[in-house]
Amino acid sequence: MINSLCARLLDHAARVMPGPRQTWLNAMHGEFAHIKNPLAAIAFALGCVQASYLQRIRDMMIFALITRWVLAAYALFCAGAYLLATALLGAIKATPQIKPEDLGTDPGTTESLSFIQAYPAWQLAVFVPIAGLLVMGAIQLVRRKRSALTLLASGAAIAVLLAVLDLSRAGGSDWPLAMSTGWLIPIIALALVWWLSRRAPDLKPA
Amino acid sequence: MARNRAPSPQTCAVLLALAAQPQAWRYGYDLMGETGLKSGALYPLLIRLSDQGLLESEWRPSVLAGRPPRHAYRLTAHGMAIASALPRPAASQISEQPA
Repeated sequence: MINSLCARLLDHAARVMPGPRQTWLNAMHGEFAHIKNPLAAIAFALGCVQASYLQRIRDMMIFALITRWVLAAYALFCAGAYLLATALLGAIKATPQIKPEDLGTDPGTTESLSFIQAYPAWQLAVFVPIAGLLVMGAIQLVRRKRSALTLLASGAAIAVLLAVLDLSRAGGSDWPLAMSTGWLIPIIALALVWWLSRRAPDLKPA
Repeated sequence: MARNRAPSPQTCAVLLALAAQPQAWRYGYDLMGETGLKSGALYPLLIRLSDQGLLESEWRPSVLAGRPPRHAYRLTAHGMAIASALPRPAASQISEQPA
């Protein structure tokens, strides 16, 4: 049973390992054949699978590099959107005498104005730290610091919390939660790719 | 774009282990035992060292009948120069976690 498991693991490693690296896969197979201890053999086979995935990821390093910059740019874009929203909504809330026709003649302007004027000021104030976390996360990402993902995740988490609070508030947003937080999907996907590329110890230069 | 960063502890361990016997051909499993690295960490590292010209390798027939040949490794002259410049650790405690 152990032999069968090891064989499956090595077969999987062979499928994952990039073609130009097959010599190294054969090298691992050769070493595996000389391991007597069953538990050591399983551990070695699991390591072969890990090594194969790391090589596959390494071949995609250019995507990891692009991912880092795209994620940082997107985080800055979202931060800018939050700051712009803070400025616009804050200006509208600070002008109680504003009328719907001052904002435009589109249908729904009256409801939008009511929503903005009823929007809690403290929630609006939280937009600023969200933007701050996203900006700091983007900067740390460019500097390849570990704190980058923590900062981005914190900003995203607070934004989600705000969206949930808004949904539960009487007179709050009638947007589905998915629409309120859909902007997080690219951040989560890109952050995951970048995090995976950072997990590979061999990807650090000698 | 090349960046000059200090070698990781794992890289240092492998380079020093190979430099300890510069003329000897070493096998992967032996290096695992000596450095404390698992295969999943060691082999990607060996691949990278080979790509950078620090490591040379050859196939050597197995001493056990019916077993496949084994891949053996030793440092190139460039690898020895790099390894010689590394500080020797007082106690080798290798962490498996990425830096």
